[in-house]
Amino acid sequence: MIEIKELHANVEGSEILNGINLTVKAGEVHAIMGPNGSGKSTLAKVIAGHPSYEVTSGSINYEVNGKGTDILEFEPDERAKEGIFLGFQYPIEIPGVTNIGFLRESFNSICSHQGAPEMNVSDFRNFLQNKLDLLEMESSFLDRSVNQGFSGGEKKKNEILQMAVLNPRLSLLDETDSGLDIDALKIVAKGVNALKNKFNATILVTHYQRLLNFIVPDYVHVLYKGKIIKSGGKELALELEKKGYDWLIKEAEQKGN
Amino acid sequence: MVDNMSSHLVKEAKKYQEQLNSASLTEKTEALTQFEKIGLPDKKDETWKYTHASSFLTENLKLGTPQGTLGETKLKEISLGKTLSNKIVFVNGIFNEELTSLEEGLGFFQEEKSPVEGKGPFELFNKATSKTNLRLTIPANKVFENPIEILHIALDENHGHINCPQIHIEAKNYSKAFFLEHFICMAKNEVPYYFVNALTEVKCEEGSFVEHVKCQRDSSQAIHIAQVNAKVAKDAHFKSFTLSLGAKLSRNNVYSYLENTWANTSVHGLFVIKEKQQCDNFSVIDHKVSHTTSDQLFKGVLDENAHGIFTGKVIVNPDAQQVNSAQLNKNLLLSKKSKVNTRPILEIEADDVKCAHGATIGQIDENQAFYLRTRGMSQRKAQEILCHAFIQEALDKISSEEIKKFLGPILKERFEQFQILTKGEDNDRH
Repeated sequence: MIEIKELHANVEGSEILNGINLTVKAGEVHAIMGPNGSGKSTLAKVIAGHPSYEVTSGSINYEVNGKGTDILEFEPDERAKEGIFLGFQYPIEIPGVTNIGFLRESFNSICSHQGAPEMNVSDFRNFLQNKLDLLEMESSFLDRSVNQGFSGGEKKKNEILQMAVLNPRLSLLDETDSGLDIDALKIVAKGVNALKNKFNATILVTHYQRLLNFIVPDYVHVLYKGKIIKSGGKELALELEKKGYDWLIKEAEQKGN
Repeated sequence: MVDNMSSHLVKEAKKYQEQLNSASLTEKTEALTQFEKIGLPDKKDETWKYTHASSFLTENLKLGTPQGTLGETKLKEISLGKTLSNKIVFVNGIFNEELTSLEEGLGFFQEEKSPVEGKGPFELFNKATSKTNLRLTIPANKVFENPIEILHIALDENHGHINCPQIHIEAKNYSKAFFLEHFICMAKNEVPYYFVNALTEVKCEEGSFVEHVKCQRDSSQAIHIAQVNAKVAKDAHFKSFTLSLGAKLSRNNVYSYLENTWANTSVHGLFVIKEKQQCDNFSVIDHKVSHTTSDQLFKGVLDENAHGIFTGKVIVNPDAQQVNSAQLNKNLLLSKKSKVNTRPILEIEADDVKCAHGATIGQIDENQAFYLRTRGMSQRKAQEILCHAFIQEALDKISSEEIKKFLGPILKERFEQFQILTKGEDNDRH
């Protein structure tokens, strides 16, 4: 579904991604782990097309209409329309825009791109109901301003609600577990798992192994200084939980020398 | 008096007054004499610091009687009314009795003498030349939930003319009414150049409530200068909202005098301007006595080379203790070339008061825009949504749901005309 090759990216002149290679196939769940500042969130943002990051070399090949296409020139909204979804680490508050208006606008722009009919307000409310149920959210959420005054857990649930509405092919979930208590974490994980199928893929960016108890990854990658220094199965996450990152970093640095 | 434009206006006014044969002639000539003395404001005048009005006026402007009529259907298209609403209609600055319709309960008079006072140059000029003196009375204890419209329609024939409409509103004790004063250009052939110099006075008697919403959609070549003077009595509430969309230059003067205890006023506004439009909002809130309150929110959205100005003067007289006043001006600049001058002026002579003020000037939040774009919305759509979100807080200040509903599509259409940051310009900023 997506193939990232030798990806280098800068922000304001300093290099954050330093040659990323990553291939994700449909039906897979990948976890990207690593210490603070290793470039995990940057990778997610670059895939989504954040304008503050400049890709200096490498490619991101993503399947568009059944063909592998380099999407580096795609605008963020074009990527979204092709099924790439970024769940934000810090969901943005937008006072003055209601959640339902935002969701509907978003849903309709993606539908019209994919040739599906748009939905009117009352149909859309019905369409949302079982998604709200899945995430154990009150429908009163819909009439509040986007993320304004939401608790950490509510914000993250709202991200997964958007994911459920947009039904993406590739979900990038950036630190979706941060700011969640155990109950909220279970609900969010339940939501992500329910949306999983053999046609879509998920990249989880996370700091802790905790989330991976609930959303089990097929692959775990460790990012350090903008490079993947180790890849493995789900047991790698458990090993990291016990031993931390230091041993891997040492190993990588020795190799480098 | 020095400048040529002032003498031109005096000459025009004299020509008009010569043909006049009414009881109001004396007060009109007096007003003109006073205008002649002070002339148009220049840059030394602090209240006109950022707007040199006379440079927008040309000497071919005349005080005439422009022709032109409007059918009932056209009128319906631009008015609020599902039902045949209450409306007072001016066409090309002239009161149109035929198109005006008011229900019986309202007192409506054309008076010989003008009930308005007036001190400033434009008020005086209006008084010296206004063709009709209208007085609308809301009877005591009566509530009019449906907004009363005051329509000022400019047609092709208005090109080159000076319009001086005037209206005086009196809300008697414990009455309540909403007004939508709508200035709109409906010219078909060209973009007419004309000068509107409007004067609206509101007297809120004890315990009354008046909301006055102005929606200004004059031609993009027009000069629009309008003054609202309100006197607010004990326990009364006067709300003003000024929406400016049109005109090359618009200047909104709102004066609200809180004359007795528990008088309350809100002076809000919004301007959404582009190209080389200039919009100058000037307000004075005068807390004359104790226990009076006021609040103010003005928002501006500016694209291209537009220039916005906000001056909010709050006066608290020495004996006016326990006053509570809040003022806020927020602006959103969509282009590098647009600019805003914002100026709070607080003249507080009492010591036990609460007066807050603040101003912000910002741009579209890139993080918010990116968030919307990752949800499939184009850059343009995202900006449109963020502009709407920005103005919502101001719009929510309007109490009349009907007026709010009416303005929604007008603002939507306005934002659709905006250039707002194309991708090229966006990159330019980084």
